[in-house]
Amino acid sequence: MTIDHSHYLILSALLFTIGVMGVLLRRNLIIIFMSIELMLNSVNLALVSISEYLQAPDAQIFVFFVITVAAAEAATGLAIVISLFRQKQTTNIDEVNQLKG
Amino acid sequence: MAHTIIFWILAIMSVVCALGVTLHKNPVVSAVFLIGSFFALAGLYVELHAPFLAAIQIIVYVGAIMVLFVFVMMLLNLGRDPDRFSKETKPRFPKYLALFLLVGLLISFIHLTSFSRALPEAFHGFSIENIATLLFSKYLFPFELLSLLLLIAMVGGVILAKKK
Amino acid sequence: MSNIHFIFYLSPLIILIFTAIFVLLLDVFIQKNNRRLIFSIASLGVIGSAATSLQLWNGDALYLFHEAIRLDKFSLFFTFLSLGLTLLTALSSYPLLQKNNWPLGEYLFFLLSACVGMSLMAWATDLITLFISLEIMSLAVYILTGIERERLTSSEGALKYFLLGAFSTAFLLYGITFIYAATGSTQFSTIAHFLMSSKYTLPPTIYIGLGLLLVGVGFKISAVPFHMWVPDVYEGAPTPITALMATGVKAAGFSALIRLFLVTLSSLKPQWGVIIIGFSILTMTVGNIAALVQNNIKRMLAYSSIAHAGYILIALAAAQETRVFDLATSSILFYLIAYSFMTIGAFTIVSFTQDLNGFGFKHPYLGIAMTIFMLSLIGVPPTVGFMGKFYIFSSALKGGFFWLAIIGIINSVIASYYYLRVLVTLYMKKETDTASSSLSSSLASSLVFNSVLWITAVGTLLVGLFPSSVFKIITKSITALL
Repeated sequence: MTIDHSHYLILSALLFTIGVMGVLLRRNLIIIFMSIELMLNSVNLALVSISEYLQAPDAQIFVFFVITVAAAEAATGLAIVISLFRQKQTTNIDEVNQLKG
Repeated sequence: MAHTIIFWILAIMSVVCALGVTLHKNPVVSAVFLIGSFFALAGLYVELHAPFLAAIQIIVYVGAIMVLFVFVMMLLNLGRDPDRFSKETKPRFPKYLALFLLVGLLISFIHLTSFSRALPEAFHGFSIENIATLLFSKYLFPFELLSLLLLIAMVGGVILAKKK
Repeated sequence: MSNIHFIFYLSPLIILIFTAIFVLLLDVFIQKNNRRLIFSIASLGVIGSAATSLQLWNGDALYLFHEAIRLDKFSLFFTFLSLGLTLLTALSSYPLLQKNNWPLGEYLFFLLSACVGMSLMAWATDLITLFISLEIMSLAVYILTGIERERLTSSEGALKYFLLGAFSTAFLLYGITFIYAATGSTQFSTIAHFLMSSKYTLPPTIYIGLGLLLVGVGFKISAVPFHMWVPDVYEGAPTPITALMATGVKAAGFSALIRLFLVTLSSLKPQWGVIIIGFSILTMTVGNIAALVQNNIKRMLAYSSIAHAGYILIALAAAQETRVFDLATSSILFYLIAYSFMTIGAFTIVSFTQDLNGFGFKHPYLGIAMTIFMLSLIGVPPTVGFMGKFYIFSSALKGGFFWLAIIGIINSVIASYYYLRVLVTLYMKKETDTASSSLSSSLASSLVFNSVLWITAVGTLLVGLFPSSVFKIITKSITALL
């Protein structure tokens, strides 16, 4: 059985769903952030395989952009976690519940 | 044939590592799993004739982003997670349903689209030159915008995380 | 682009970015008691940017940077709107900045950067540019939400906003990926051309792309069922930033929706039209019903902002009928202006005090202003809120969306209950004696603070009385779209 691009895309869909699962089910903030990174990575995998399928380098440029945005997001998100942690010593999202909702 | 075997090894490795990230109790172990999944993906990029991106993936994700994660974990002195999942009494059924719907829809739609063209043997990917030319011509504007984005992230990180 | 002309075309954005960086640096070098200077420079930058966009208004529409962005009346309209909202937000936060010792230079830097992001979302004619402008806006607003580091709820709001925002960004990005996979381009014009000219069945991946895009954008405009974050984030954020989120961020989201769905993906109307109608009904109804039971005014306004997004979605659904496209799209833009005036005003009063018992007697002028905003939110003539609703419902009726208009009108009637309750609190409850009264009276005499209220209250009334001149400008910017 030969491997074609749909295999890569299905793999990326699986990884994306595992990332969504982590965000929906886990309560530890750091793990939720890592799951979001996983989702962005699955997007990158899809982009690289599409770049090869279409034989166009454009999608590889998008991967650069996604990596940069992921880095910026990680820096901001972790800064927010630290700022929260300084006030309330927890990284469990269920204990972050001052706002009733 | 070799390509098929390599693909399956890397694919299984990435899925196992991804499951490790989301299911393991200890955040530090999760981080190690995430690094494993980054390496597997980098291997897949090489398979897809994008060796430059594979290198970038390792340098930026493993070298910078994961170091940031591990550093924050160290700073916050995180141990094991006693209760992995939410304690809330709300039924978790809708979340599972949403997940199954998402993965089912994604896979079935991808399956319906014909990507039947097998990897061309003659194609050897794009050179760094190709990518750089495109980045500094067609995608110049978004590239410049990224500088503003990084500046915001940098100033924001300092402002939010510094001591009072 | 071989010549240097792009500097001229981009001048509104360049001025904003330079002011932002200048203000950031100036705050480091200047003495702490000279905050007024920094603030004036930032305001001047916004005004200068508005003046240059005014210069560009009469020029022709043109694509820049290989169709990464498009300069036309539509993008300039949204640039004006974001600039105005940024200025009002800056003004209304000025007293709070002085009182609470927030980092002034950084605060203004993020505010101006958010403004760049918001404007660019309307300029973007390429999915990648759109994505990056969205990120610029979102990151700046996440940080602004958490900028009060001494207050736990502010950090908590920032965290929740960030988590949901980053989560939705991933969906949006995955959607962009699939649209690119199906069409082979990220440029709006190429995508539109591909969809229009393709005689064969479209590749199924485009439908995944469409669905994922809707999820991603749904989070940003807080459409039900993607609204869970709104009340907590709006309550936690500093009040002027809440006002910016309810107006500017949402307006930017709608500008992207118009360019992306109504213009670019218009061939896929049969697919997204039904979803938008569903979104609209859910968003109005859930927002209004949840607002009925809120006791905190900020949370009430948060749910009410969800409901107002639902009304705008009615017009978006109606715009899929080609014969009412102009009217419906113009009514979206008009409603965004209307909503901006009344919401910025209402939130400014709330930033002053959240305890409104007997407020109308204690501060008669502020009480009258709040009454105007509430009546406008209900949609009582001659306020701008009435005209906004009138345009939206009439475009829905003309487009044949009879039931949608009826549901919208029923919802407006339900909504009047909780706005009227605010008026009852203003004038019929006994005022509670609080220690903060000396502080609020110093705020009440603050010139900057009052000017925001004057601008918004007069705007609410004037645009409501003379809507046709504003509507003419809006129609011009809509025709520039096609």
